[in-house]
Amino acid sequence: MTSRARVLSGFAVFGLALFFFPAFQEAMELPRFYVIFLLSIFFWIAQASSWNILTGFSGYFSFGQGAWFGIGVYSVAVLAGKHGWPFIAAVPVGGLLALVGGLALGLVVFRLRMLGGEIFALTTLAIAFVLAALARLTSAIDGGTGTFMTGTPIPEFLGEFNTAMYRMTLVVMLLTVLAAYLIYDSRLGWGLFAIRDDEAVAGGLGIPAFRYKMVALGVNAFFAGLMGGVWALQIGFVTVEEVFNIRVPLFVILMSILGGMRHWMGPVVGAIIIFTLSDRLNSAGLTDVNQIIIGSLLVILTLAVKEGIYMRMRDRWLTTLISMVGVMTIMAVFGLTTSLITGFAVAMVVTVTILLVPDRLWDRVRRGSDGGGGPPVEDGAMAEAGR
Amino acid sequence: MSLLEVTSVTKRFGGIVALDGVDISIEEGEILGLVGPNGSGKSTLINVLSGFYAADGGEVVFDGEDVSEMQAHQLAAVGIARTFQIPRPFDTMTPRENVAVSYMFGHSRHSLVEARLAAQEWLDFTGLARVADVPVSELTLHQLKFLELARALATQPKLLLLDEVLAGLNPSEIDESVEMIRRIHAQGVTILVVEHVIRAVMALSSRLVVLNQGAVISEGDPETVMSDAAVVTAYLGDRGRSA
Repeated sequence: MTSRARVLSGFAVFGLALFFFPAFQEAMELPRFYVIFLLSIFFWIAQASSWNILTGFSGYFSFGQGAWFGIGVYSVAVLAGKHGWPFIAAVPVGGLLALVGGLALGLVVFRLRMLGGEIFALTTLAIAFVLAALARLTSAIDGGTGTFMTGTPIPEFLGEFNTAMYRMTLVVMLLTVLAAYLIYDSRLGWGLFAIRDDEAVAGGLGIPAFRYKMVALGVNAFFAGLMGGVWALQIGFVTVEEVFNIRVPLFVILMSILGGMRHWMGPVVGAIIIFTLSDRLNSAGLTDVNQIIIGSLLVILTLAVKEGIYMRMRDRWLTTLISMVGVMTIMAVFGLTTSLITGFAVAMVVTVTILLVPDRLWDRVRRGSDGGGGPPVEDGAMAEAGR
Repeated sequence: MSLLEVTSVTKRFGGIVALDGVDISIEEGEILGLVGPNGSGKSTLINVLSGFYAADGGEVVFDGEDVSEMQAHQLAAVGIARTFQIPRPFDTMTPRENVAVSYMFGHSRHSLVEARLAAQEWLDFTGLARVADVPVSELTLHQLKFLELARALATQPKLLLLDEVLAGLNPSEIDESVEMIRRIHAQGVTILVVEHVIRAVMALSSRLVVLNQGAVISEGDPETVMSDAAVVTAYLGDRGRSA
């Protein structure tokens, strides 16, 4: 079995299992909140993964995630919310309009050779501000009044509201991560990595940098817009302040950096860690310190594991597995928590802390005790070569 | 017909004329040495020929095709590759991945799977197989220069532009590199060598072109050119002639 076949079957298995989770939740009488928790994670995984296709792979730092997300949200708010389009028809339009927006920006910024990465970053930041002002001033879009989405029906075959939202976010998330993986494992992906490392040299070796950057930006914008379109319903009351704030662009950056930007799984892991942690802190009433904790975590992790926590997890996958399962079992057996999510969050914090042990120290500890550790580092290297 | 025909190519940086109507032709299968004092325009010429700079005037014909307006990645596709004086590897990739990326895109298009296999050939050829999977940060300057060669060769070029491959190497490494360039040439690649180490360039080149202040001042077989009065003056000044 080739490595690609392995990953694709992994997608199928995970996708199917997750697809039937709402039914499982009802049958087992698990809290309804689990479904909402998961669909929120799907949202962030899709946003972070799509951002990473451009910024992680090509190195062009984008603050524009909010703009593509916002185009998606407002396409649906206007078409479905104001003009009565079917929701299912409006969502793809959101993705496509974001794609058009992305390509239009790319045509301008990537064409002008003297503009470097810094200018690109600033321009993407400005785009979101411009769009926010445009939405606020144009009554056909928003006009500052906001749009209620509560009147928009969701297709019946998707189930009741939460289940339908769950299924739609799941599908868009899976498509986005699949796109990230397929790009990662292709000429396009390696071309983008080369562009990130040294764009001039990449060009000299035959890589069409302009075209590749356009594709990366287009894919990023498309999936961000698609998920934005779905999310319009979850927001319920769409306002400029809610859509075009710093939350989306900031969080996708945090998630991807923390998880690791060089691998397609990095943003996925980063999104799970940051969203879970921030959700638990909020529900524990620690909303105020939430950002301090997340911020400190990011500082520690970027200093300790530059390549992102996902690479550590892969190199020490056995340790990761044992630690996650172990901590959650201990918490369940001793009745430390009744919430699966809290157990998961605690296990994650413990695991990440263990993974922070530097490689050199880690090898010494393992040689000394010879028990319980992960596979030797070569395992990771071989997995990499066999990719 | 020559493989490369450069006709009155001009390149300015602000008020400075770096290349002032340069005419050079490179015959298929030769090793052409390009020498000249610092600032004479050698590197600028390589940058123009490889598409890193756009020329301000003049014409470049490669293999019968006008390539004057082409961008770097298009020039790679028609078969022009180059190396850098200061090695510029992709530093988040291993040497193997560096070569594989280059093979994927260069002169013809290849898939990721093909590239992983094909990379081995160029790593073996340049003697880098032993360090193929270590981070590039662990390579010596000598190895990095060979990685530049491997990466350029993996694009399967017809014309290879070598920008001071020998700079910074010790004498035994220089001998090794000269040998390597001969072996590349033996494979049928036409080579333009820009070099400061005159001993090496004399040994390698079948023909020599001397640039000074952005213009060709002499060309011909290496022995004759190096004794040319204009060349001696360019390198050593007027007093050099009587010395």
